[in-house]
Amino acid sequence: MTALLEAEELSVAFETLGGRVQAIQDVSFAVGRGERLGLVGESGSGKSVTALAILGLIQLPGRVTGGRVLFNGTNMLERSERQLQKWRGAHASMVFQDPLSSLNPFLRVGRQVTESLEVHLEMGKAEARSRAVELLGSVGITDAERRLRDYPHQFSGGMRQRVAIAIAMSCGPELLIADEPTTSVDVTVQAQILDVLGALSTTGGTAVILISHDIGVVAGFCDRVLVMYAGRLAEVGPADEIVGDPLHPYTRALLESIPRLHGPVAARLPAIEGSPPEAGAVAEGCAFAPRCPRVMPVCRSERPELAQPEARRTDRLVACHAVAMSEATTPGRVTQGQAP
Amino acid sequence: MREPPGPAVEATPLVMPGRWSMLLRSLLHDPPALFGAVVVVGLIVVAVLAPLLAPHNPLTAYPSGLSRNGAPLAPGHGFALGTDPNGRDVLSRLIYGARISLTIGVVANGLATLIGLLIGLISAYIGRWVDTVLMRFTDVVMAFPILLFAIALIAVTGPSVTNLIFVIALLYWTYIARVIHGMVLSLKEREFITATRTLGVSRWRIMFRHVLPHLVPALIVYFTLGVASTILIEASLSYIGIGVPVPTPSWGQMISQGQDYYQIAPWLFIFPGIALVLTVVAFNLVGDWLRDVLDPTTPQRR
Amino acid sequence: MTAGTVDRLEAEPLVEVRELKVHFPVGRSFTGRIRTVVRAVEGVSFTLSAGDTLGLAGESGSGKSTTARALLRIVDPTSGHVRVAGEDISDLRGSALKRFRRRMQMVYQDPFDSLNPRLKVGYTLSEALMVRGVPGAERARQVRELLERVGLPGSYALRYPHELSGGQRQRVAIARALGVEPAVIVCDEAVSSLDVSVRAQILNLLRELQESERLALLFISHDLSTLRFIASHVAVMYLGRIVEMGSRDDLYGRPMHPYTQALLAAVPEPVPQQPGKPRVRLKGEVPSVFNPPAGCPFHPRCPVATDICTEVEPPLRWKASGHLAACHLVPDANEAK
Repeated sequence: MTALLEAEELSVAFETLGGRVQAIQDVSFAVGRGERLGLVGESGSGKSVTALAILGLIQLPGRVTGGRVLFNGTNMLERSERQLQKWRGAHASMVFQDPLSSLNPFLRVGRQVTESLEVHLEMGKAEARSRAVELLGSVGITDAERRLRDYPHQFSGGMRQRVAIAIAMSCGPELLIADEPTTSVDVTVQAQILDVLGALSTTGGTAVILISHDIGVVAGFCDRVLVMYAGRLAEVGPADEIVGDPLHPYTRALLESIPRLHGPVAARLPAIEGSPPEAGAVAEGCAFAPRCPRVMPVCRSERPELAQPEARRTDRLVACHAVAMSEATTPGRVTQGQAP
Repeated sequence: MREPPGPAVEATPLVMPGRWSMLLRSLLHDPPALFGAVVVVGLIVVAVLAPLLAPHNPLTAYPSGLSRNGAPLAPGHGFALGTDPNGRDVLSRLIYGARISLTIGVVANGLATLIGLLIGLISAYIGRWVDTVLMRFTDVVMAFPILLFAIALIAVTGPSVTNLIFVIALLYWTYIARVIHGMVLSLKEREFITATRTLGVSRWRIMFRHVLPHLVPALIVYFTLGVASTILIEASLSYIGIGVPVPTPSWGQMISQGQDYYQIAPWLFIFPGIALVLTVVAFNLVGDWLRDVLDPTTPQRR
Repeated sequence: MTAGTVDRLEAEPLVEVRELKVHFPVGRSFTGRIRTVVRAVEGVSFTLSAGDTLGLAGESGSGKSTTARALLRIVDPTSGHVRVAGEDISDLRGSALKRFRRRMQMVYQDPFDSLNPRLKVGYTLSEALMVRGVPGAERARQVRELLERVGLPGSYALRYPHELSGGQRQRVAIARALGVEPAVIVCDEAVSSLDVSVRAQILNLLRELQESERLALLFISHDLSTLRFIASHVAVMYLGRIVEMGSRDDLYGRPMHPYTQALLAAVPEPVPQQPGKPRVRLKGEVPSVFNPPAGCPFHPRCPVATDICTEVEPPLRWKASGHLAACHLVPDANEAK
């Protein structure tokens, strides 16, 4: 079965007055129908750029420097802007971090929902309106009929995000990308929003790509997780395995440095030295080498490739020399998830 | 040593060397700005080297400068751009006129910028009644039509280059004050200002060591654009006769004089006219480019 | 009825906050009368001693940041008292206020904007020394020492903030706070804007400095996991009030207030998911500060609210030794079972 979405060796660079900045390099992954994929990374990891690249939203001074994005087998990067516009919203859609800036403050919410319906599905006004009421209700907005006439600033933060999700889902896309959708909302609201997103995949069969810097959020929501570092994939695997048994030294060190709600409280947190590299910083060898507790001489000269440890499941991949040495590995391709 | 330092991120222009090469590259990619910059630099060179470049004395009325029947000479014959009705060399007057115009433009504008900066900065940062009083005062001065007021002031003080500079400065500072005032109001809310105040640092130190550096890019832009305006103001005043006193050459003055002879000696107003237009346009182009380059919110072009 | 303060091992608290209220007038009517008041902080009391860390937890609208700012006199308290080292600072002005500033400093959330981008790091730090009265000739050397104390090389004094990473900038901000030799440092979401892999470094640094300098730390964060590591006692705030306060073990081990319980349940932990675990979901969102609910401010969202909760605001009371909560449904300490 073809994956719904497949990214192959995706690479994006930005040309600035200061030179060329490589934002992501050779990022490959696949998402199946109804699957929940997580993209986790810090600043400079390239996770947001990856999302934009999938939807063909990379604009000058950025460009896709390599790779393909296959949606149902078709390479979307080769399509014209007009074709992409028809595809976006109807088949693939995105929700952003800050609903205050992704919603138009000057338009009533109802209009923003029906606009998409009228454009993509060519619905008449009345039909679009009743569908809009349905959509707002489906994301948990009570009194939806009345709320259609409200402006974005009249909604609370969590409500706005629900509206953004409703708009994104209005034409029933098969893929939804959510880029840090809960970062600007309170933690008690975050859980609600994740529930809404979860229902989309469980009941609606929509594939969801969740992007976040918070590995806890991603682990709790996604089936599979991609860990990104400095524009490349560091580790890939089922969410529970990534947090329960991280293989890549970065993932492992990251999880160890996060303070926990349970368990003994240490006097010092095991911290990773240094900082994540700036976006596009060119490194020889592994980008994590300067900070890695398991660094070896080869790490500084040769960049590790994504490889699959033979003893583990086929959808577990790690790009690390140390792991390659301690476990026999074969080079791997990222495929869509196996059935749990 | 803990962390390896990351490479510099965003442009905080005018702060770091290495920014200069980027500025140069940006200039080379922007033909109008490049043209403007070349003209401005050329103008400065001409103004500074005037005594070396001018073929004749601009104030001397040469007998050989007039034709047999007393008419000004057309370009050629030892006077490259012709002569004026007094027999003075147009080219030399043009060159010295550049010196005058530029001097007045830079000095008057510099003074105006200084006054505007101080008033805008102090009123916005200190706030309260100081702000109200100073800003209302600014409004009042702004309400005066510059030319009329200039005429009145010069009528009282008498025409001279120095008076001209003061008059222009005293009227022009309001634009800068307004702009600076707005900028300082928003800068006041920045977290580093709150942090510095909480540290216990004095108001004046904050104003001049913390806020002022942020104003420099805008000041440079407005200064450059302002030079164009003040040169025009000077030209206008000289044109109506209350600017630079005769016989000191000024482009505005030359245009005024030349318009009476437009039929027989069009070169008298064409050349100073071109010089004026070229200068004003050049400064505007450079000012626009500076604004694009120094404003970090402008998206990067290729 | 006074809200009790949490027991401390130290005899004399460094900071004493009593019934602090901060109200902001919003919107004057045509006649100049104040139309609405935002009650950002509504009667908060706590103490802080040297060598101690108190965590202030809460979401948006809780008033935790405003409390911190009132302590530092960045905003003025509307009523209530704040005592620092025995001195009431709520009404200080002029040079007395300036002298007080040396006792308490803040590390801000945004590492990008809390340092002046146009000034070298060394200058920013030397200003702190200037305030302390360090003579000019000494300053350069002490700036280097400050940098080294926060784990940065002395040569960083010549750098501009944009040349430093977020974590490094935050270290500079901490150094600046230390420069005036304060007794109390308030951290307002000091690690929330940093990359996850950098947070632990800064938290460790704060812990170390607290021990070596015997600082009192007030740590504000919406992240309960962070607070559990750094704070010995935590106060949970909701709509301007403290709803629960206790030691780390008490608060995280035996949370009493329904809001605290919901907050703890909502934190997404990076652990393998246990299937079948009941998902506790709080409904609704934090109500608008312009229109707080009557009675207990939490009652509209509370899963166990009863009638009295909609009418009477529960006072903050001792529910166990060293553990306070503001909830009608939690029995008081002296009502032993």
